[in-house]
Amino acid sequence: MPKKKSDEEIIFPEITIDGTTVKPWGFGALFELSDSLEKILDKVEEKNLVEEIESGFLTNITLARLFTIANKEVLRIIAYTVACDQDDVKGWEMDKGVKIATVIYNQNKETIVGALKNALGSPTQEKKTTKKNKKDGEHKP
Amino acid sequence: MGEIFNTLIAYGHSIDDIKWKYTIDQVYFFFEKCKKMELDSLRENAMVTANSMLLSTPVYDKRDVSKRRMAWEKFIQTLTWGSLEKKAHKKTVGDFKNMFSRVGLKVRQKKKDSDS
Repeated sequence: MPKKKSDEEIIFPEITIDGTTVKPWGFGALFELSDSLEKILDKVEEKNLVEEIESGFLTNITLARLFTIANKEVLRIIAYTVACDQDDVKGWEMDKGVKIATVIYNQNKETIVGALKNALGSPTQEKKTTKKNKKDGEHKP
Repeated sequence: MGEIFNTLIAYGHSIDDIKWKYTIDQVYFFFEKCKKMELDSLRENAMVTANSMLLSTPVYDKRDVSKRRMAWEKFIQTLTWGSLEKKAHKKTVGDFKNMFSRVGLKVRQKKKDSDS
């Protein structure tokens, strides 16, 4: 279960990395980015990365794989989130890029994982349904 | 979603702020606070009505009149900023000790191993 955020964490969510401020998405950003997000999620499913993305902990290896399979979309999301030009993002050092991408994922992971679950159907829900079906079956003569 | 946006706009937030400036967490946070304010206001109104009704019903005993007046004044006192600050004050161990000793319960300090 995700940890409940404190009032301070909600009111002051901005994080600055090497002079670049990262802020969690709003409803408008989600609407703007839904297209890119959908494309990434399709590729994540294709490459069997669903579990890693859903786990809530993004390793550098997973991040690198994400960059490789969906570089255009990831670049667009990063540039939009930090209100920067895509060419500027391309000019960043690797370390800064990885840090910022990780922060973006961490700040919005509930939204990302939620979108993933909506698109694919939550495995936990499936388990619950199966258990429930089994229970129902037990009562039946 | 419509209810969230509608509530926030009714409380003076602009639609552009809700869409573009606030994060998703902030939108839900402000919505929750607005709803809490509404509930608090309804609760206070209900309390005021109940207390006013109690105050306006006839009494035939002088003691009851003063009791009622005191209850009303106490109630009004709860609506001041000072009482709100008092409520928010976190109780210390000393406060609890004082509270227990006021009602006649002795609070003994735990003996340290070095004392025995």
